[in-house]
Amino acid sequence: MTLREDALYASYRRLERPLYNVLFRQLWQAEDCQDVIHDAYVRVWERRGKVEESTLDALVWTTALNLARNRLRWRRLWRPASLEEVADAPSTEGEAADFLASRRLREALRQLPATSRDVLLLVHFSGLRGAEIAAVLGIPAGTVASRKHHAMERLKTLLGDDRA
Amino acid sequence: MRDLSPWLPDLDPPPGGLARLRRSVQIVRPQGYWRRVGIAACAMLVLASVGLPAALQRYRSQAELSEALRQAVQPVVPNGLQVVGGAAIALESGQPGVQLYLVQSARAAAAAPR
Repeated sequence: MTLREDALYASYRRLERPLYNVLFRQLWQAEDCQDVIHDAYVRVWERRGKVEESTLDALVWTTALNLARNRLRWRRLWRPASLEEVADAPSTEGEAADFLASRRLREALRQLPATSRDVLLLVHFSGLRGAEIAAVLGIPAGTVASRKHHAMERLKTLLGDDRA
Repeated sequence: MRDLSPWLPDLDPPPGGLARLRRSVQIVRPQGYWRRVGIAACAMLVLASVGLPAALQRYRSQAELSEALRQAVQPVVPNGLQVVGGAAIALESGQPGVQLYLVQSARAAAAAPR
């Protein structure tokens, strides 16, 4: 039951994009997302003797989400929010519109309960089924649909927009 | 709100992630490395705690005997030996004109059966 190196890389190729998209809506910084994805895979590789390839992707998801939560906690403790805002500030008019939309979404997602937000992002990006999402997040399988519904309704209210 | 795509567009991850992971995987310690290091360190400690007192004791005995011998061969007393911190016991040599002495450290002499 030892994880093979090529299986690890195959998983990375499979999950890099969905992981990045989910993590970016939590961390909002490309470098941090890359670091979290990298660190998650390194941690899994360190425990390769206990990892089954059939559950590799789920383990990577769980590890990456935990690392992202830790990073957010660390940020709240040590880094003032204003610094993050400055770092993301747009430089052109076109970027300004994207920036404002991104900021609205960011604020809206921030106001969702953490698990509901995770469910919403995983449903949208991960390609995992409901039971798999439940396993990754450690929640009852039956609550995935209801949390997703709740999160979408709440997001609709917060964004006040019928586009989506 | 059925489709989140306008709000959540699919983003491209920055390039170079896989190459970075490959580099890291090459330098990750083999599995159980730190456990093996810990076991080796504990074994060294156990060996040291058992072997060190014995080695010290052996060294001390040899040092005491060397000191007793050094004093014994110094001709301080005519026709005799002077040993401080030890004992010189005269033995039968079996040859005329030859005197044998058993020189011991004080501790070894005290422990010897009479």
